[in-house]
Amino acid sequence: MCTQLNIVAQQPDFENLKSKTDPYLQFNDVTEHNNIVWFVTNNGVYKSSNSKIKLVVKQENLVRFIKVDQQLFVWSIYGEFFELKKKQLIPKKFNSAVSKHLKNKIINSVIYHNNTFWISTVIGGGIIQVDQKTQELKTIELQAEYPCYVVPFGNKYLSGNNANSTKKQLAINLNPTSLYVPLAENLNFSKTNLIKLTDGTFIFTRQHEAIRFNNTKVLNRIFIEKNIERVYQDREGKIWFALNGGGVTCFANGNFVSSNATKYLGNKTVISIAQDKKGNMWFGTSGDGVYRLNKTIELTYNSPKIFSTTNDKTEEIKSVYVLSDLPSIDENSKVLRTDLSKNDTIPPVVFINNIKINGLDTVVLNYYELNHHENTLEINISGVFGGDSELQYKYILEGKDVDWNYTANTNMYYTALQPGNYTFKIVAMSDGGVWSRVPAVITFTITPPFYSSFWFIFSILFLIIAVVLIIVFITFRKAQKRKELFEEDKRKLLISELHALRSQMNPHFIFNTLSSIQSFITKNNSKEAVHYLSKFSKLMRATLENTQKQKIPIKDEIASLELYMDLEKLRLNNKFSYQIIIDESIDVQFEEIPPLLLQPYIENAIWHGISNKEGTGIIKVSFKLENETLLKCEVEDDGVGRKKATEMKSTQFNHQKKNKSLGMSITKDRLEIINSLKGSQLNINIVDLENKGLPTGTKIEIFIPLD
Amino acid sequence: MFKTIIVDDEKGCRDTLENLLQEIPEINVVAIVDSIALAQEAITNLQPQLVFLDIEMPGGTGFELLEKISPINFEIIFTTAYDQYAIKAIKYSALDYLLKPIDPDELAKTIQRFSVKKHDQDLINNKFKTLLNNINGETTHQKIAIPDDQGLSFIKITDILRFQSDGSYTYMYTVGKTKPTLISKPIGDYQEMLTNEQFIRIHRSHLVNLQHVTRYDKGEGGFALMSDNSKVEVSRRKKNEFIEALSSL
Repeated sequence: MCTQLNIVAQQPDFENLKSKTDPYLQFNDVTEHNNIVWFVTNNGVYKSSNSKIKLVVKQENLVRFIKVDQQLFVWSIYGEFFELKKKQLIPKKFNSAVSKHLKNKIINSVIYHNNTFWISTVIGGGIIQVDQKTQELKTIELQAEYPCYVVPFGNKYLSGNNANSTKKQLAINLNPTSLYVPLAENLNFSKTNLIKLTDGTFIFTRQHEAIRFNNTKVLNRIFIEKNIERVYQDREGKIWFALNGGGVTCFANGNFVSSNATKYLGNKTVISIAQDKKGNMWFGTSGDGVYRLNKTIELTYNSPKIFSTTNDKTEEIKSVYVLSDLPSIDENSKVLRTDLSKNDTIPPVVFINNIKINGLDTVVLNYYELNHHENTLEINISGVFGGDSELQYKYILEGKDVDWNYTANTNMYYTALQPGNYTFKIVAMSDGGVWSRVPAVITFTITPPFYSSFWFIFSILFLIIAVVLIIVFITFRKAQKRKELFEEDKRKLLISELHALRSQMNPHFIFNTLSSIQSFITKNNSKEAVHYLSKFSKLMRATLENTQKQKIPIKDEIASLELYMDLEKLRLNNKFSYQIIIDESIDVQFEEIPPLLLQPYIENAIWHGISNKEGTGIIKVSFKLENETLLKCEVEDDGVGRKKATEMKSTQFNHQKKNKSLGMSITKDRLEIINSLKGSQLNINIVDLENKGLPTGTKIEIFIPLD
Repeated sequence: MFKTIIVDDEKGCRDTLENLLQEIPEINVVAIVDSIALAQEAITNLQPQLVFLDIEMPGGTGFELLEKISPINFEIIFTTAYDQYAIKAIKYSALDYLLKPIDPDELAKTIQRFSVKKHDQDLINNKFKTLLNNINGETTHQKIAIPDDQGLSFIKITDILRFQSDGSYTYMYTVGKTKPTLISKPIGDYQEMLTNEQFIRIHRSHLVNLQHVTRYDKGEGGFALMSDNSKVEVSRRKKNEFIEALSSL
């Protein structure tokens, strides 16, 4: 809880003192008493001390000070009276009649005059006089249900209330007669002030209006753009208006006065003003602490005389002055002067009284920046002009409305506004058909939620693009790599195909076959010689042609294998016979396989299975569809079996040794590459055939993908 | 007995063929020559019914002989050791050929076919015309002999949309004809012949001309849409090969 205010800003001619813990302290009143400046806040009573302001006593609901016979009193909004004594608030006791009257009342104003408290109340509007010493209720003057305002007036008092609830009129009760002052709006529970000036005239303020009058007539009426919180006359006679959201404005000898006060207080909400004996001005704010200004440097503007602090009898009240944007009042255009005598031709002026955002009051500003959920606005306006007839208004919310709206209502509602830029404009029309010269304008921006803000969308978009690019890049890289691998595999396949060609064009096979044919010739068996030579040339031709192709029909491969086995049979003097079994479901013309895959295994079966065997052997080559996309080829021999073949190889020089392993490993490599190209996983199985523990041959299973 | 002339520049080949033909009673070799010029002379003088003509010879290919002799009122069996281009052209023209070294069994079969064949002069002329067209003409004007009920017709390969098998018969669809031609040969024969001409076997039953594929519709295997708006099924296993072939067009 705030107990102390310190200087937060300082210039040679001013200080701003503020509480760090409770910056929103409201300084409802300020006064000097016993050479000390005292403050009434919503938190309690404070006093100034050595460039600091310290909490004296804590109490809520206090409104203003009142001086009672050299003693300082404070009163609360609920009609409690306290004497400030030795850092304590001692409640002032009234008798039961007074207590009864003040019960459940809201106090509007209190004055102390002639040993009497004059207490005016808002609820059950009336004025009572309470004797300070006897604490007795002296008189009750119930006037109306509307607020009353009371100021000393000679030996009596002056009070104000609305003369008629249906009329916007203030009745100044100048006993025994009344002075009626037209008002812009009906009196209500808004902040009012009524003070007596040093020249014996009075000023009544309420919202935008300030009315100066004497006991017979209204002298001046002025309108100020901002709501008037407080009016104060200093010892030099200057009249200060404390404004809600408008700092202060000041008049000296009827002219505007600009000073460092108007400069420093800018658009702050000032709610209390006092001058100390040294001539320093003290300004209490709502939310900005306390300002103390040393003797002010003043600039007087040669504007039309608006206020006279002397009772200038020659000045007839015939004008209404509307002041807007006071700090820059030197621009004459901002001062609107209208002729009271021609009420209907006076352009009315519109003020924005209040803006509720999401139902909460705000300080009226020209520009608001709202976030996306602050999207419900209630705008309350006042239209003023010389006459007392009803005003008509037209308003538009640029950014939402497409056309002007017409109404006599003074509240405008906007709900669920979308993010965007808006300008609210309102003008009034008198019943004489004259429109305001200048509309009241508020602009505001509702910022979109972060997730629809440009930067957010941009970032998300950027992110998405980045992710997409990365994915594309990665995919591209992968594809590239895959392609590289694919190309590499293709290259390897080509090489291995060349190797396969080499293995089929095995020199041993070629020259030994030619030798066998030669033997027919030497034996004059030219028929056989020609027969085998044809086979040999066909095999050579087929090998040459087939190795140019990636795939050949199974039919062609079988034809080559037959030629090959026929020639090997010739070499081995019919040591073996062969069978080629093709499953009926295979379309040998349609189904294609890589060429020369099987020959090395057949060669192996002949030279390692059969050739080492005693007697004749048989080689079975079969083709089956393992499934729709997989061809199973089997090369089965009834030879000596792998184990024995290996033993025999190791003990004898065998010309086939090297070539055997080469040819088969080439097929294996080729199948691996084909698998890698197709993404399939297949292998070559070698099955050792046995019968009762004795080897009966070898079976090779080769799986070839068909697609 | 058919009067026969052997034309070959290599002595070994001439001798082998002569020896092999001696075994065949229908054949009477009346001349053996080693050049185009001598062949022309021999043919003019002897009026043979059959000529074995080697394709690769110094001083002109066997095909040049055809251009010099008119009319060709004899049958020719071409012989070649290894000339894929020539073999293709001969096959398209439905002419006979033998590969060297000559297989006596194939020789016997070829002679057998020759001896039972009707020797229709128009047909012979057409075959040679087609052959010369295929040898000398633009690749886009290649023609292929298609056997039909009239004998043979010679169809521009680029006009063939596709083949569809029906057992051992084949339907051929061509541009501008709503009805397919029924061919009494299996589809594999045409696959063999036309694989290098941008034909692809996309299905057990379908051999299509890639030039006439207008679109590919995805599916298990998918469908090829042809220029005549027919829809041809693609075998699942041939899908990748087909797409690859399409994209490399």
